[in-house]
Amino acid sequence: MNHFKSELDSMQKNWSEEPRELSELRQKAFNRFSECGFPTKKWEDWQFTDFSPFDKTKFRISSADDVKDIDKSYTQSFADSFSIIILNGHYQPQLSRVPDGVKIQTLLDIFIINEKADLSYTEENPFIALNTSLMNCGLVVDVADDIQIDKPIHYQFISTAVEDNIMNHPRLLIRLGENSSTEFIEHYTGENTSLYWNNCVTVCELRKNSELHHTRIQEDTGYHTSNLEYHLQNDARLNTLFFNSGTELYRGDVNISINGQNAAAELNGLSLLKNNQHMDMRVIVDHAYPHCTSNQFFKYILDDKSTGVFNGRVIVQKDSQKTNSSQSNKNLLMSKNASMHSNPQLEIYADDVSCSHGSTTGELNEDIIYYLRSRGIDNESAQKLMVEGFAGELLVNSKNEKISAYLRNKLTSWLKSIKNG
Amino acid sequence: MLVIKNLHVSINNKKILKGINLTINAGELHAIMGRNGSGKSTLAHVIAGKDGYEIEGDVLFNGESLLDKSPEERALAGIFMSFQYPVVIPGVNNTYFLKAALNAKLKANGQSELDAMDFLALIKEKIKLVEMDESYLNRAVNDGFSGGEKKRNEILQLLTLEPTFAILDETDSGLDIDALKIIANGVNQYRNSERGILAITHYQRLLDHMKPDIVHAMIDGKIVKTGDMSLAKELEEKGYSFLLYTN
Ligand SMILES: Nc1ncnc2c1ncn2[C@@H]1O[C@H](COP(=O)(O)OP(=O)(O)OP(=O)(O)O)[C@@H](O)[C@H]1O
Ligand SMILES: [Mg+2]
Repeated sequence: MNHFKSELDSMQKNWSEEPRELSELRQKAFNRFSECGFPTKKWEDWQFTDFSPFDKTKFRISSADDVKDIDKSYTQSFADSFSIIILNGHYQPQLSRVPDGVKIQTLLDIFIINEKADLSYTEENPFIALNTSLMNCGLVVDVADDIQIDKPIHYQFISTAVEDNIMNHPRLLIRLGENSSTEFIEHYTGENTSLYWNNCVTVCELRKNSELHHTRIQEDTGYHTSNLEYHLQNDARLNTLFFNSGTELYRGDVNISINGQNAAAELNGLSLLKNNQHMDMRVIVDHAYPHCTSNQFFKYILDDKSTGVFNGRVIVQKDSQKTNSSQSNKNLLMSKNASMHSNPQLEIYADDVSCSHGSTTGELNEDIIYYLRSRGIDNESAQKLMVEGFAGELLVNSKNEKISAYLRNKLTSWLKSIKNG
Repeated sequence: MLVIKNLHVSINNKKILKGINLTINAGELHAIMGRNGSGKSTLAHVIAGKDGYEIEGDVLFNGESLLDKSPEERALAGIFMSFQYPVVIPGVNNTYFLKAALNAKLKANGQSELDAMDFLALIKEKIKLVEMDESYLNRAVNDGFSGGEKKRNEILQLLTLEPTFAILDETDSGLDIDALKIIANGVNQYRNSERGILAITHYQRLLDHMKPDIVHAMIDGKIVKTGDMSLAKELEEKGYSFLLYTN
């Protein structure tokens, strides 16, 4: 804990020109973080993960020195997309390009802290508090009203080789104007060298009748913590695809607040885990208004000794009549030593709703393997076909063909990597 | 072509097949009829290579024993089984699956594999033979298919893969009258003097369309009577119990 305090102190020394509100905010958030500390086994919804490595490894905040010459090969844009490039926690405006109608500002530049973005976030989540306190890469993306962006915006957060252990606390705020639509790809990549930690907070505000397609691809190789918050107003439509390619320690929180009528949220998530990797995800959908829809579809594929956790909760408040909600978590164990804790829950306080939830965890179905082999397909190809099918059910939910092709490729190389292992 | 010699099969020490002898030559269609639980599907699976059985005796295909071969080796050698209960494969596209199966065969035969375009042209011809809508090609294998549609999909695979020996395990069950004709026509298209067929059925109806050369009656893991079409008629009229007296 003291270590984080000294990181904050040196940050505030270096950035002494920061507006006073910001440094007060950092201090306040840090106080909150120190009060609660990292989660322990006693915390409900957190007990399946050991958070002590965050404290044990003395991560330091990345500094300007960590940005070396930029190797173009780090940036892997999806053809025909706009891009926002972040290198070791430093925004690279000269490499970034966004469409008309979209404005990008750093948090420092504008320091207009939205009430929700900050920080006055009610839940005692130490990772959000720590992010607020140490945020070193704040970006605000504003999409104007009535704008339909036809190409995706590709946000690339690249972690390159650094000698010691660095951490980043990126804060991303995406605000969609009324009647606008955007496709946003939030993409974390990284070199597999020294251990680093990305503690991300992304807040998306969907104003009336706006539409967001959000693909979040986690391919960085260090520790990863993420908090994703979505606020949906009337008639807003959210569609997500979270693709996690696994790291040793990953905790992800997703919070959806439905704050208007006729809003719809489609959440898809696919996590691939191998070796000793661990992925702990909690998804909370809060229906506070009537006539809204939310569908969740989360899948994990686990190999070796990896462990997965899925905690999902759908809350339907008293006045949220005609809510339509489903929650499905399906997991595939590729190894006898892999394990999965799945706990989908429903809390319903309204009476006229249609809600379902379910969870299954199983190994590859032998009858299917046999069926495929009886058609001349060898055992390994049969398994591959099945896993691709299992994952493919989710990847088809991507609106963007290029992204689904990219993710399919990732899946194929992941499958190769576990077969060789 | 297919020779079964004194085949005994048990599952978990429970005897299911108790000494089956059967020879099917190229060009022949044999039918097996028998009570529920008499071991017909077990026989089919033992030929196709499902594991989990304790087996004595032998199954020869073109003179070679099949028993040590994997299911895919048997398939590539020319064996095909239409499943009594075709499985659903979530997320795996039907066309993709059929193409993978056909290409596995072409590759094993040293022929060049078909690309997506050529395969599509081929499969569109084949699907007409079973009178299925092309939309079934874009769905996951058997996912949400009705019972009858699954059976048609099995015959589509048969016609696409063109094996030399086909086992049809109750491919006629659950079919409406028109579908039964379509399936029978499909099988008749497939049939020729170089191919053998073993059709397992409960009903004479299918056999009326397909005209088997030989009909076997199976009870409790044994073939108790062998005859021609008239045996099928007799079984349908009298049920299986009459065999118990004559035996
Ligand atoms: N895995 C198994 N474990 C135990 N018993 C089994 C197993 N598989 C099959 N059997 C038994 O073997 C017997 C033969 O089954 P089989 O499926 O071959 O019958 P069938 O003749 O095809 O019947 P049907 O006409 O109903 O399809 C049945 O009594 C069945 O319960
Ligand atoms: Mg059977």
